[in-house]
Amino acid sequence: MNVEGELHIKLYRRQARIEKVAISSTRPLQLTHLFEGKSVKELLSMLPMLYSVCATAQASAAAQACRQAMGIHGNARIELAESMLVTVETAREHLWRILIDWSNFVEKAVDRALVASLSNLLPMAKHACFNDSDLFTLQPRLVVDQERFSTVIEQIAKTAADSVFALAPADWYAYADIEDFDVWLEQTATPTSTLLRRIRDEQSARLADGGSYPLPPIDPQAICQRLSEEDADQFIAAPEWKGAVFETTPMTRMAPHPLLRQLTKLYGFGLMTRLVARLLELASIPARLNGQMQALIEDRIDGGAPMAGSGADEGLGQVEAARGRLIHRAVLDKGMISGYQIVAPTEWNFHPRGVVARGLLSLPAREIDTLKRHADLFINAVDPCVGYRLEIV
Amino acid sequence: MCLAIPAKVVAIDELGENATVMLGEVKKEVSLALVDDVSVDDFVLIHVGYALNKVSEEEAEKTLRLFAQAGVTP
Repeated sequence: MNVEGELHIKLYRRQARIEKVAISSTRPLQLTHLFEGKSVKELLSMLPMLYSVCATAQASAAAQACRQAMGIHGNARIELAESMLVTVETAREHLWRILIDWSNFVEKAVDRALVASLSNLLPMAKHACFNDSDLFTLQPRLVVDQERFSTVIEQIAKTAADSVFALAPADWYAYADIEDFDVWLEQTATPTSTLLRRIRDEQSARLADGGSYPLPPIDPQAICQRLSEEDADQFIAAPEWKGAVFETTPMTRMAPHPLLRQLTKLYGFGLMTRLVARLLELASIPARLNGQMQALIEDRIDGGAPMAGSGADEGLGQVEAARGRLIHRAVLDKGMISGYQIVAPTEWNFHPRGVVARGLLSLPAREIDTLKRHADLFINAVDPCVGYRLEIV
Repeated sequence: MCLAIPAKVVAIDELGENATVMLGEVKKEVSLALVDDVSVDDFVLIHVGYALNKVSEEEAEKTLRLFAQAGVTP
């Protein structure tokens, strides 16, 4: 067995269609019991070691949950800097997957030096915001190095411009019209545009449209209540909210963008719309980070509502990670962790009746090789990082 | 939530594109596309066939101990 655990996705094919999709998981979801009996300080140092994929988002959600449980009121500038680091992580993850996976899908060589160079982004960004020693601790000290952080933003923007969009990300993000998008598609020769053009020309753009039901904002008290119930482990393994199964992906975050709304009308929630959503999110990041950095150095942060930290020994952290919303809940007893839970986006999206199951069910199944290619592409469009085994019977 | 497991690099192919790592007693091939400057005897975190980043031997051992405490062993 793979120690990381994986999803087993089984497609039952009958003649030219999929009759049933079964998704089961061996992902080790109960590792968080390890934190019970530990101090908050120990938890905050252990957690990123265990969850080192999207470790920044994980550490950020943990810090939020623990501060809240201990009644430490949030510092808006620190929270903003932490969310900027999560955004840098999202940019790196999107770039990695686009530069590697999308190049592979269209049989183009991967620029290995460029891909490897992206591993510097997060260490540089972290160093530009915090002392290494107290990053994502209860009360970190902010050290804003604008010049260093600007270098990070420039590297993201340049990589995206040169290797993905063939124009500045902000200009691509400004496409509000499907005609502009089509012109770009015709005139650009990056692996990204090649993949999207191929999908359109092969009449695959609408494939895997199983609808989209975005995970709504959830009241922290309500989710804490749900996670305190006896069957909480079942909820963590296959979450539903008010009887419905929701999706949490870059597409649900980018849904209001005008280009995405037009693409949805034309292609539904199929392959094209989902891949473009990831590109839109990537294209939005440099400008967003620049605005946040300006706000940070000019000290014009809206203090906003203080964190809901009640000091009542229970806290919740919610972070939009690269692949969707990540939720952490911490419960303390006499200052020590007595309960810790994580609800990850994978469990919403790969729920047995979730967005992936519905999309796969809608795929045509005339030829097995084509079916497998479309299934791999669709799963990658929803979550390019999760380990899975696809079986067609 | 996705896990990445520390593993020791025991061989690297001629092009430097893939490595053989030891995961407990098991050898496994992983891509080095996401990391720079990896050598034999280095420790890397691996996830879904990729080495994500280098870690020190001390960090690797500490992380493996945590996984063992949680009942996850390579």
